[in-house]
Amino acid sequence: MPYDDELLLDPVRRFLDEQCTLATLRTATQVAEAGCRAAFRRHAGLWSQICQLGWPRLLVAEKQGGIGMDMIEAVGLMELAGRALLPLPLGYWMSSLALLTRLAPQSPFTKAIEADIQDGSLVGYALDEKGGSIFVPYCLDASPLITLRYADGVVQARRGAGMEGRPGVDPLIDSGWLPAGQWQTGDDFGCDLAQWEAFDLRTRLLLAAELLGVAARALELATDYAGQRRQFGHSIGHFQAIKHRLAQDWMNLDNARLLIAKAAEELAFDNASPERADADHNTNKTAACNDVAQAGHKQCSLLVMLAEHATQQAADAAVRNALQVHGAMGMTWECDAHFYLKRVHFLGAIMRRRYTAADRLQQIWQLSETQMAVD
Amino acid sequence: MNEQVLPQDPPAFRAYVRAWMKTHYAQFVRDWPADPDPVSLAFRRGWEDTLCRHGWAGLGWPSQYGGKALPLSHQAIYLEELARSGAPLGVNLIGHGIFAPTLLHFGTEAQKQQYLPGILRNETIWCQGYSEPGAGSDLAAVTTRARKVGRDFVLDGHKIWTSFANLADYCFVLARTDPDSQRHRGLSFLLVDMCQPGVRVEPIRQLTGEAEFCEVFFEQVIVRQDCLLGQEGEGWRMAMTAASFERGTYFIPRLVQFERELASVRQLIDQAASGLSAVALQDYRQRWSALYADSAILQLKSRRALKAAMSGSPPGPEGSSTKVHWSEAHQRMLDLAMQLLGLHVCTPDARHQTETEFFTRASLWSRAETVLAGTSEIQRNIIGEKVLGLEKG
Repeated sequence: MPYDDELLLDPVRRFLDEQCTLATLRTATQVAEAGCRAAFRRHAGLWSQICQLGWPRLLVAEKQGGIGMDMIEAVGLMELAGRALLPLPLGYWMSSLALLTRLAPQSPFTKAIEADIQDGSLVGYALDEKGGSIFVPYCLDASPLITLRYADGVVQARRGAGMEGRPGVDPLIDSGWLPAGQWQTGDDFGCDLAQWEAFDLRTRLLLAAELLGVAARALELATDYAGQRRQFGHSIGHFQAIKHRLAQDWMNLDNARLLIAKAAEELAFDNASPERADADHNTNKTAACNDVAQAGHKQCSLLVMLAEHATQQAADAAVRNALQVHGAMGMTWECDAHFYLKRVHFLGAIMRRRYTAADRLQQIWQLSETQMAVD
Repeated sequence: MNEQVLPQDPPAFRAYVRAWMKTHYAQFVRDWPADPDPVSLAFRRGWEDTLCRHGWAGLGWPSQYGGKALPLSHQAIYLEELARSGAPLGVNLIGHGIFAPTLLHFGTEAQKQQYLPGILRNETIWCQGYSEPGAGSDLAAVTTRARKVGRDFVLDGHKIWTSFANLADYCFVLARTDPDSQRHRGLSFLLVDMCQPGVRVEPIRQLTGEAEFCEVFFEQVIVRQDCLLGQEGEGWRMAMTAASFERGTYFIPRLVQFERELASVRQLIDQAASGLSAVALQDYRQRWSALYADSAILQLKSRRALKAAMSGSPPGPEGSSTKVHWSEAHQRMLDLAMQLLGLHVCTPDARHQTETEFFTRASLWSRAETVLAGTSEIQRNIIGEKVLGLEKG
């Protein structure tokens, strides 16, 4: 992969291989199916470990006590998380902590969140985007919920009580709906629009990278199966009807990965982005960069749209093909392929809530009027 | 030859090439004695001759052979700017792009001295004798034979789909020199003078009406021992190496062209908008946007390939992926263009004549792009087998 930073990603890969195996996730599902009360705390141990390793703080600047990595590493990590079917909102926390620690590092609200993330007691991130009921994609009942909204130059950070969720299409994740107005405490932070939009783009890009990982792993499973399963005296991967399908999936995912990496590069923290200017308390610089920032923002929006478009198309096709290649086995609970299909449904639904495929193409049409995505 | 002093710094080099191309291509078009027809072979040859006369050939060759010894990054800039000028590709693409680097790699000093100057000046055009009626996708099935008679070879066989053979002065031929050999073994690389007795070229009229492809027949053609390139029996390996020389740069002009055409298609959509239903307009725009995504991806792929070539890492399967993607996306784009032109594709009115002729020709020609230089099917086999490790078919 273009962003494979072995130094960072190798330990991540090893941890996920050991601690987030499908066998473990399946066991957690059985507990949930048995109606056991502990089910609502499933994955809590895994989240604790991940928090101890500091992954949610990956994008927090070093001077704020974070790991100080950039988007290119973050998308690499999220691809691995997707491959492992990590059933936790890691991407949301990576980008939210990066934003809060830059906007208001000293605020008691930020401090409290940081402490709760540190000890793994905070999981829930609610998507309060379009008014009405609020969707909570990952629920652990005892864990409080946080949401970030934006209005008129202010980030409204709100905190509420945890809730029980239940699984939908994806048996590994409990989600739920929260009635509006259930927040208990909160704080508001001044934030310019460009900064908020950059946060939004980063969050979306991390989600796309996660989706890419899910599909990439599904392709591997299908490829392994196509190499083992024999019919007509050959492995089925020998036949072009199968081989070309899988080759096409590989190409599509490789394409998506290139766009994700390019977008991650453009969304890096350590350039003349508003965050940096803000952190430097260099307001003149911010003003001077405004035009550049605006053009840069359009460019970033365009690249994220392109990355989302390519990833969603590639992932949708790859998981469906993975099931088809597994034949009747693909229809069984025993075969792992269905977990990937279900996760693609889950993440895809979240992505489509913002933009459907048609919306995205419409946005690309508008944003590309005056520029090329890759100069 | 006009010796120019080229700026070393990449942005300055780019600016220099851009300005040079702008001035000189415009002048070339002005001075062209007939109606400028960028598709015609004469026009393409004329422009290529002009470039070579001004020292734009052999950019990557060592200076002892008249080259500029420029790094690959500068060659890429040159190709990009050349394409941006709107000028067409030349006719000696194989000589400059494939044969010359192969000769520099495998040739004897005498062979280099003999063949390189003609390419540098664009006086000798080269073609590539690989495909045969029975050896297309399955190139190792080559049956053209070169028998040893004394110190020389006698060549007999039939090549087909040979681009530019009707213009070519020389052909490098993949032939079986070991009569008992099979498949990839026993093949050699021979340099054949197309004016020799026994060489016959039959142009093939293509569906566009033009004839760039040819059949080439070799009947008892004497090929001297010193026209063997590299070692006898090493032809397959050399053919593979030859193909790899272009891997960092092959798609550069094609992708610039892709972007230019995509911008024109956008204009077609805007022009057609008022006569379209809302649903149709939305459909066209969405298809255009998807092609825009293709264009961005292809740029990233091309850059990755260039970077890999510059770092000297061995060629991977990415070339296959870019080939499939480019050719198939290009066809989708040109299909879109044809649909946007509506009834003008039946007979254009005066206002639409130029663009309709351009897109009609491009659209018809693009059907070749998923076939030539390795069909999409073969490229997907390569990815399935080399990347995914699936059983070889």
